[in-house]
Amino acid sequence: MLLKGIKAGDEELPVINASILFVPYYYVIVSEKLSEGIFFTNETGAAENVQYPLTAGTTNNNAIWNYNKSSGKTEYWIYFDGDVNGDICHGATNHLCSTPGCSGEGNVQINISNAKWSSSSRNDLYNPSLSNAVPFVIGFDNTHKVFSNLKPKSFVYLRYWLDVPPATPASNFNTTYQLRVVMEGESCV
Amino acid sequence: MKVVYKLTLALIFLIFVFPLSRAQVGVGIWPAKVEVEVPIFKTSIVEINFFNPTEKNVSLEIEFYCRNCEEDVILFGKKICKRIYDLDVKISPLYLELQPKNLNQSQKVFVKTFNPLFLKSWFKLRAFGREVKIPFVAPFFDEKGFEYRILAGIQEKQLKIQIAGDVLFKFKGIEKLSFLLALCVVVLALVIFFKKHVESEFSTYEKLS
Repeated sequence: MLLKGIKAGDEELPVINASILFVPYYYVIVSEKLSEGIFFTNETGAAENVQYPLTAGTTNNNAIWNYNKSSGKTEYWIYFDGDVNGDICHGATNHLCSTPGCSGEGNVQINISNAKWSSSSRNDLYNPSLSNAVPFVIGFDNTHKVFSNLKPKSFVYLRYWLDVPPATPASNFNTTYQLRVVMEGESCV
Repeated sequence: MKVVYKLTLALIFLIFVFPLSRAQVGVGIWPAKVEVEVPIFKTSIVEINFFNPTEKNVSLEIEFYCRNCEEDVILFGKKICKRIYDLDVKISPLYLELQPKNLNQSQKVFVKTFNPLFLKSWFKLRAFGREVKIPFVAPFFDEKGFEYRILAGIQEKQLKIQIAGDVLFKFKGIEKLSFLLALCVVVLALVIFFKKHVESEFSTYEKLS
């Protein structure tokens, strides 16, 4: 079913008949707010769901949509479905920077480990919780998966926080975050 | 087909149950895992299908890499170098545009490989403070499996979402038993030939003397 002959140039490739009784498939849907990116804000901004520059020395600054001001729920989620279970890993491509591309005069960099994430299958004021938060790593964190053995038709909810080291100029800090979905038990790297 | 039927059900579920918004992004894969036998001197092709379960157009970047093409070479319990297999595996296309909700019109990526029996590899070692790569071509016995990971990624503004599929190519090699039998036949033939040759030489020598 999956393997068949195709023409590559003038060469006729062989037809290989494979009998596959079970075809594993899965798909993911990422929420609108998560696909827009993770932007951190101060206490006022968290209550208003608006981004404001962060102050040096502050800890656990919320991502804008950690707590929707009307429902108290997070707007960061991933939906998983298919006929197999899955694992999800999180990470970042770079450290957090104050300027796009981490370049230019006045760029301030914050180590990515200052940013944390927490996941849960429940979504309320207390879950996902800060007490279970895991620092981000560059690449993918195969040790701390966002979710392991995720069953089809499941939602995974996420929240994010950022500590700003002392003596850091007030700014908005960004990077590219990454999510990788693999089949249950497989390594993300 | 079973998968198409399942995907149609999934589409119905998505339309009626799942609160889809135009800004959500998503991607799906089938088969997410597949094993393919590659007979000696044959080409095998695998189709990996990608579909878009959301209402937003999706641009997919396809990447792939071998997960076990590097192995440590151990001698007397000590690692002496690395062996890196250099296989002929090609994937195309490397870029896909997925229309919204194309569950029944998934787009395909083809992964193609050829089993030349004599596998090309490199021995990577450090000598005189430098990294040295020594090429090596050799046949192999029975079967050798190479795992390839196919990654399909969506790059949003500040988030990269990747889904992974795994393809295991089982390269068929020379069967040990057949090889031993063939070796025995060759050795036997050589012995018979040599014996006859010696006998004829001996009879010629006897006639002369």
